[in-house]
Amino acid sequence: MKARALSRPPGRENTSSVGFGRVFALGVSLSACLFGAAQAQDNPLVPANQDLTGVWWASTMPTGLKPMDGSAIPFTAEGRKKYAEVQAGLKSGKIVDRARDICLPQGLPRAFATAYPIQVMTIPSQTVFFFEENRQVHHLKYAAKHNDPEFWDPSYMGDTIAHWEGDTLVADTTNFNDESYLDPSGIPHSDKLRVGQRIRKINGGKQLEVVATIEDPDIFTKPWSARFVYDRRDDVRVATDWVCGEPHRNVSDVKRVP
Amino acid sequence: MHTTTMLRAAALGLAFAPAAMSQAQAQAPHQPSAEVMRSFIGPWNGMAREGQQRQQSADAPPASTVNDRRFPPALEARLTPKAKAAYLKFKDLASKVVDKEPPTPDNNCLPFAMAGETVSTRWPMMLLVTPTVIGIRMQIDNQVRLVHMNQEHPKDLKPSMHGHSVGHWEGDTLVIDTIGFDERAQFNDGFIHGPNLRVVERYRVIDGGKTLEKTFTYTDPDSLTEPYTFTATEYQSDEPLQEYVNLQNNQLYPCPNAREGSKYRPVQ
Repeated sequence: MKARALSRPPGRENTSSVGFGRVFALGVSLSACLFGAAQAQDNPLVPANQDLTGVWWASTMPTGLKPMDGSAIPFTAEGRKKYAEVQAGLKSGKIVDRARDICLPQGLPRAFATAYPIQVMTIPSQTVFFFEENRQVHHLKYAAKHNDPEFWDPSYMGDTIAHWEGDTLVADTTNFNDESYLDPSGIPHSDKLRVGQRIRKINGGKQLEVVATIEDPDIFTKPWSARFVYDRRDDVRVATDWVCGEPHRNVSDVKRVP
Repeated sequence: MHTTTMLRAAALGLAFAPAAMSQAQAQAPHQPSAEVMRSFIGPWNGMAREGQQRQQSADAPPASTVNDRRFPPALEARLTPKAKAAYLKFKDLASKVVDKEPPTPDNNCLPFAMAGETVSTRWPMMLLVTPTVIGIRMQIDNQVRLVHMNQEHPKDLKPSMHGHSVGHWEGDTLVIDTIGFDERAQFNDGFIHGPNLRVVERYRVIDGGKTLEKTFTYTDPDSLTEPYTFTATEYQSDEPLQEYVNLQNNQLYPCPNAREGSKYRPVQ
């Protein structure tokens, strides 16, 4: 089933149908009643409970991708075989992990498992994750339909549509290229990969939680989920010019979990 | 008498209270209306659509610096002898390279210099506008620049390809100040700069939201004899941003890798 090409590309911002009236009303009410220093921190463009803007940084060093319920990764027979092949290839050097070797985008969900900070920006039509590591950009567009894969090439970060359910941003990403692994150990995927995401602030806004649900019938017998948690770090500025192999931020404060 | 003093002090305090409050208000960073902030988002594209004339001052660099390696006369006229010598050397080198592009940061898979690609966006760009941070998202090479709103530059600034940008609103104009550039960053191919390069950008949305007007001012005692200013425009575009990965395509010069970083150094 192929969706018709959108007559209005979802990237177009100023005509986005998402919440203009609500945002406009909010803007009017804010400008009518607020003054003082606090105003600078309020975002009149988006509802306060649907604003993920900020710098977020994992407090613990990410490890290999694991199901959050503690179970084993539900590989299909073919998936298990492919994973073993990739692992052997990475070990022998026959396969090069280009995300690590030349800092290509890592794809999802691997990008979420980063020891480096993330700048998130919420604007009226989308939320954007900018990952310091490998300069990766993840656009979560508030759209109902994916871009038509007939006209859009597969990409490392895929094509993401998202919507808010209360204070949770619910996203769905498809149309990945086959150049990425799901984690540094080489968990493979097919072109059927779909990564769902439920993203919300927790702990009174001090932390950001991403639950990624991985679905790929060629590789896994059923969808499974991994969880990533980040601390809010207003004291940190995300660097935007990552150059592969050059000195990066000190991440020794990010605790290693045995 | 003691009581009188206290009363006087209290009266004085009361008299000062509104003044203090208005001072606090004056210190609160100005922010334009939500509608204006929203109008900055885009996407924008520097390439004029059919029937439109790309509007920019004669001083501005060409829309594409990739195939046209001449500096605008206004820039060339302002080069210090050192910068001029480097430019001529680069130009000479570029003229001898027949089948491949000359050694520029982008041809070496480095992030583009912030200003260069913000100036000549042949690809779509967006301004991810929030009150605290504005992301300048350029499709070319998947780049993002972050503009930290209503802040000072840090004292211990580490040079970077995009430099460090702080911004504030003056009325409905977004003003961005950037310093701390890596020596490898170039806003025009062949332009070298010193450690004190400063770029001030002023952005306005005009023509009822259809056009983004950008004015750039470069000052650098090492490379420019006087500030170089020009204006360029971008148009509201319906072309959405796509993923653009430079790192894997380049076979002309080595891309940096995890073992050795980049070997690129500017032509001096």
